[in-house]
Amino acid sequence: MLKNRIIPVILLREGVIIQSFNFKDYSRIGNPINIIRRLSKWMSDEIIYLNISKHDKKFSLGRSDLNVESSEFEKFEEIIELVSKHSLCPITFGGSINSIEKINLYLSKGADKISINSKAIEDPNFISEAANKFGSQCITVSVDYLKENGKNIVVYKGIKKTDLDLFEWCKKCEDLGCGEILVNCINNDGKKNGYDIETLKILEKKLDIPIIALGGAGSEKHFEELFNKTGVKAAAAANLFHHLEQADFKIKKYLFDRKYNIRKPEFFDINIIKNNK
Amino acid sequence: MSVCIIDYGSGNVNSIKSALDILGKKSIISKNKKEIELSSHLILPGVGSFNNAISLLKKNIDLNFLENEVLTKQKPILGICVGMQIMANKGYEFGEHLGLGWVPGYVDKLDTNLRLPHVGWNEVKLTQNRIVSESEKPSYYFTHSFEFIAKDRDNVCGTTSYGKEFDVIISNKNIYGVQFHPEKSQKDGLKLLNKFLNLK
Repeated sequence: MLKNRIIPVILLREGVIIQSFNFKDYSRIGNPINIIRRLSKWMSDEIIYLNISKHDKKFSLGRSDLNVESSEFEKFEEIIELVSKHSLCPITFGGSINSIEKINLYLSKGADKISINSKAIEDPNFISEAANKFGSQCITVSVDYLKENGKNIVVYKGIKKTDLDLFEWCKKCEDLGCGEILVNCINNDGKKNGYDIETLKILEKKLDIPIIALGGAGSEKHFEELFNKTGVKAAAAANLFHHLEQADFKIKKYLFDRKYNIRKPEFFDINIIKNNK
Repeated sequence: MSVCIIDYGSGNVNSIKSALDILGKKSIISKNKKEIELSSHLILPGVGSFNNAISLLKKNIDLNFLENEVLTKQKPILGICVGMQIMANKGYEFGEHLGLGWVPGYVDKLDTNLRLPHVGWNEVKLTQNRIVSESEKPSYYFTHSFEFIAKDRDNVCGTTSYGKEFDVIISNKNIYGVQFHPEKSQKDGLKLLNKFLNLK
């Protein structure tokens, strides 16, 4: 049986990992390479990297005391390359993806999947163009939405409300050929009060492709609630993974012990594999 | 032992190389005849559609040469994802297309009532221990919408359940194929790659 996925989301701003609250307040967390090494060691199911930098110029990893190959990057793809080398699980990269060439470049640097957001709103046909070229399994559409007066409004570039309804927009993305939908509830961003269960329940019934829920996870119980109350099988979270020590392992253990359909939580030891002929 | 990851323009060759690096196994990414000839083990990656992969393979690699390496010299070869699928006789993604025909069978849309693509970690039930030695149920990372339907059950080493039971590890003599991504499947994936590379 297909396992439920627990997916850490890493938000990068000018190359540094940050924490986000309501899409407004950001605080700096640290260097992405150390995090990926840590997450890989903890046997993460999958990792999503979102580049939310304001500009496309210089990327600095912030600290140079962490024994990384280089701490100054000209381009985001250099971070992809470095991150990919250290990872043994699938990685999705997103943020300012606006051309087929860019997708090609990111994939060649080691990305497994690509997340498209603003460009899909500007030009929905870009979704089918990308899915036809790289396969649906490679293309995730990421959707930010705001709950307001009983409506779920799709938000463009994290700030601008559109006239798109969440459910209709997600269905359209599916019809255009994307392989997965990452839905992020802005109201819940950084609040640690749980996922937007009500909306996810409806969305799940409307879509035939896998849904990844994001926004609001603050404890193990929120993952449990999501898997219990909805048919969504992939739970993503960002801030939680930076603030709870060994978060990925602890969340998995909590769910695994309660007989949820989760990969067995364990630590990764390369020597056991090497000695296994 | 030396591994060549066949670089024909499809598949994330760097991820496979990274996984082999972590295992401490030397590998090269190449489409060069000499380098393929000098390698003891071959890996055939692949992503995207069946047709796209087989067309790229034909365009970039001399198939007569490759078949000599695989079918005559019987070098161990591992197909991953679409690299496994194109080992079938035929594929039905975007029309009917001929495959390599190394493992009897065909590739068609995954016949399930569950969500597609089938994406995430799933358990594999081992039916033969040719490439995975453990008796425990390993889990691997999948991302695909099409399935390999083997003609002969003797060519099936493992199946997975997703609305139905389908073939995910196939083998025919020195030829192996896996529907999932061992290079992205951490412990269980590395074990499988290690076992493959230890095949004589």
